[in-house]
Amino acid sequence: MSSSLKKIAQLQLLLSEMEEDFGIKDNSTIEKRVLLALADLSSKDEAIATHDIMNHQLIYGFSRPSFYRALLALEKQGKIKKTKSVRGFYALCAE
Amino acid sequence: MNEHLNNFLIVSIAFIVANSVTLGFVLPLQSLLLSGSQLEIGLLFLPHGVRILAFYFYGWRAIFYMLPVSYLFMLLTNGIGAHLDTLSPVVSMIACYVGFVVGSVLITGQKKQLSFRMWKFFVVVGAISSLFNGIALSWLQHSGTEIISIIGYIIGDVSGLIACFIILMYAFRFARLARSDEAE
Repeated sequence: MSSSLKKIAQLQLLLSEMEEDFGIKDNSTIEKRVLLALADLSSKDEAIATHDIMNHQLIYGFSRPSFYRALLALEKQGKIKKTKSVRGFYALCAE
Repeated sequence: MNEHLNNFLIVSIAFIVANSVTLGFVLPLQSLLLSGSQLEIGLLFLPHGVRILAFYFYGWRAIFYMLPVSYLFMLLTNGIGAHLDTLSPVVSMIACYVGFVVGSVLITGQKKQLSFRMWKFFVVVGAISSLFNGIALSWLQHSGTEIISIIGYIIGDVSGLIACFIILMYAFRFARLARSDEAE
């Protein structure tokens, strides 16, 4: 059994390294959903209001603190940005 | 005995899935898009990823775990117009394993100089294994080493290995996120 667990662990390590190198690791579920909601609501160069993102169907069921933590985390990761002109608006960062 | 049977089942199932996708989807697409290509050389050979992982986890025993399924799919592939030699599964497995061992020794010998992520290690070792496989199969199918065939085998095996790993990565990720969604 321990030999099977070791094989599974090695496989998980391999795949985890790939996720990290491909840049898709450690996006928790809500962070991923905030990113997707923003992408869904955005068209090119358009900033989206925080309350619109929070009311998106992908964000349904998550608490306000969790939502704002996810926004902050995505901003720190450089995946989204606050628009400079108006407060409370976010846009996706160009890749 | 049970352990060997379990290993045989795990490897066989993985090999069947990879071969089925290749035979049922990749090869028809290949013959449609590249009508001049030989069906004996798959240009996205997913089973190579399963082969390399099986060699890594089970060593030389993986050859015996994979041979029955290899023969099954050799018959199926010949049924759609390919002309694979009867010995090709055996030759391919042995050549791949020898290449895997040589590649592993070369890479681990360079470990001090190179910092290799695990998946990159597998890609490089998979490429070396594929080179041995290509030379052996080219010699078997064409009675001599044809450079074009060898290149075709390497392209197919390495792209198949990378595609296999990417599919595994997303499959595990999907399963993990689905579990965390349920927990919430």
